[in-house]
Order: sequence, then C-alpha cells, then structure tokens
Amino acid sequence: MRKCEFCSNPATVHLTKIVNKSKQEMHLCDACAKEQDIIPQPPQELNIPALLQLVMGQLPAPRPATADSVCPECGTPYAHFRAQGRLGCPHDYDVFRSLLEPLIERVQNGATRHAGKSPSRHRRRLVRAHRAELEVQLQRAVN
Amino acid sequence: MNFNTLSSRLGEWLRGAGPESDSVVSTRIRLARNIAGVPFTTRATPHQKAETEALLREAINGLDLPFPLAYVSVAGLAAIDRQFLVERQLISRELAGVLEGPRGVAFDERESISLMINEEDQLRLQSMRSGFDLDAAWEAIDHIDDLIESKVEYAFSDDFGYLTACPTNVGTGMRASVMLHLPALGLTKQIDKAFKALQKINLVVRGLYGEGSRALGDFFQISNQSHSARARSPHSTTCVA
Repeated sequence: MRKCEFCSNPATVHLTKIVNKSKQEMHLCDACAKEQDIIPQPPQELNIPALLQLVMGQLPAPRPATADSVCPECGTPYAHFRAQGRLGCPHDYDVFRSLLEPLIERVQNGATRHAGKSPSRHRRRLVRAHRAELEVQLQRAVN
Repeated sequence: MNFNTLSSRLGEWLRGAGPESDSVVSTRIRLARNIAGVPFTTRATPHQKAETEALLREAINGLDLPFPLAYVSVAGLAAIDRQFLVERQLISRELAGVLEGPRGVAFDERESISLMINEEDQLRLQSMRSGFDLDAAWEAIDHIDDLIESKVEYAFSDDFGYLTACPTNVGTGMRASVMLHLPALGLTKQIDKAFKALQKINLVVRGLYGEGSRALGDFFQISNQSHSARARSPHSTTCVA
C-alpha cells in the first residue's frame, strides 16, 4: 500500500507522469488531493491543470544510482543485489535504474524497453493519463 | 489433497499423447509475477510472506475456471510429499526445500496448471502440455494470468515490463521450455554440438529438473534465455521448433 507524499496516510490518488521514456509517479491521500485542488469539493470533474502543475512542479528528477545506493522502500542496498543477484522490491528498479539498465540490456539481447504484454488495469491508466494531457492541450488551444 | 490418489495416475506432462511426443515429452510455459508495492520473497518478512500467501490464495480460490484448483501449503508438507510434487513438475526444487516461510501451490487434477506462491517471485504460473504444444500452453496460462491480474495489482513498469526478483527474468517474465528425450544424440556424442547451436539462437539447455539439474535419462529441457518481447510479436520469444 503506497503512502501519501504529503502526509503518511494511505494513498488513494495515484498520478503517473510519462514524458518520452521517463515515468514519474506521485501518490496522495484523499485529503491532500482535495487540498491540492486535484479533487475539488463538491465532487466535480478532475482539475487537470492543477493536477499537471502539481506533478510537473513537485517531482524531483531521478538521481543516478551509485554502488552505495539503498532502496528507501525495502532497505535493500545495491551491494546486496550484487552479492545475491536478487532485488528487494519492485521500487528497486527505479532506485537502481541507471545501474540495472545496462545489465538488463545485455541479458535481453539489446532490448531497452518492454514491448510485450502489460496488465489491463495499467493500460487503462495510461489511456486515462493520455486523455488528460490531450484535454489540457485542447483547453489551451480553445483558449 | 490425497497424494495416494495423485500417485496412482499420470500427470499431463507424462501423458505421452501430445503432438510429436515421440521426441518431445512435454511443453511448459512459466510466468513470473509479483504484487505491486510489496517486497520480493527474498526480502519479505515472515508476516509479509503470510499476507502475500493469503492474498494470492484468495485470488486463486475465486478464479472462474472450468476446473477446480486444489491448494497445498508446501511449508506444512512432509519431505517425501514435497519430493513427490517436484517429481510431478508441479513445484520447483527451490519451493520444496531451499525457500522458507509460508508458501504453497495450487494445481488442477490433470496437473496441467500449477500456481506457486512465494517462490523466488511471489507468483509463478505454470502451464504444461504433453508433447510439443506451445500455443495451447500459452493460451491457458495467459487466460489465468489475466484472471488473477483482475484481482491483484501486479508490479509492472512501462520500461522494464513485469518486475521480478531477478532482473534476468524481467520483461515478459515468461520462460517457455520443451522437454526433449534425445538418447541417440547422447550416444553418438553429438549432443554438445547441438547445444552450442542452440546457444547461438539464445536458447538454454537444462536437465530434467530445471536450472542446475543434471540431464538424467537423456532428458533435456530447452528454453528461451531472453525475456524481452519484440514489438512485432508481443507474446513470443525465440522457441525451439
């Protein structure tokens, strides 16, 4: 269960920003999402401009991993992976990305991006995020 | 689960009635899956492993399948019963012995499907068919994968694909393998040449019981090495024909 990035309550609103090949995620609880005006009261349409401003303004750029890097979610050091050959949790792929990418590319015969099956709820999420961006573009064009 | 009943009949991979079963004993497709936001099995605490087992067991129990699945808690089994499940190819040697904590397997009466919980990955789905039948094995496992995914959120990345404990499995998380019986190649000392040729097309050769096992009885398991999918064939990898 993800925790809200503003407080430590369970997150119920999950934002994904995809620009070119880079993905960044943000997780908020219901209260913080309303406070950030993502979900205005009473329930209306999603405030897409506020949502995009929050995502683009708040998320830090990912830092390159080093041999001393440690995953903040599961506490696995990169050195543990080097010794055991096993990662600690799914978040390790983001934390150790810059170190794992060349390894995975070598193992996968040069493939650098997944092109196969994906979970259906993930595909639906991508479609919704893409539609939200298109709606922002449309709004700008109309204005 | 009555092991005496199981031992009195043959499982799917021993049926010997599938396509090209004169030399291809069985076909197997395995998918590796993990739950989003949960540590992989090797780093999970016993409490987390128990929660994962309970969550996946509930998801499996609720599957809308034309055949029932029986669940066995491997952690509570006697050593001989675990060995039996390994010999039936229903569980891996790792699930039977090396791994600890809550873990189990669900399988059907025909022994054509097995779903291992808390192996190296939290969920390892496996479909087996007699003879050479990759399409049928894939259709079965793909369908079950979709059903479970509708109940549980998988760990997945746009860039890397299905996330696994070992990065060598990341991507499709799929290993497709065929079990061949090649006594003549062994007797004529041609087997090493054949294996070198397979390696050039990214296929790996293992023994009867998978990674690290010996080629007992001239049985060889040939499977894909890479888990990447190419854009033109989302589900396929290079497989032996």
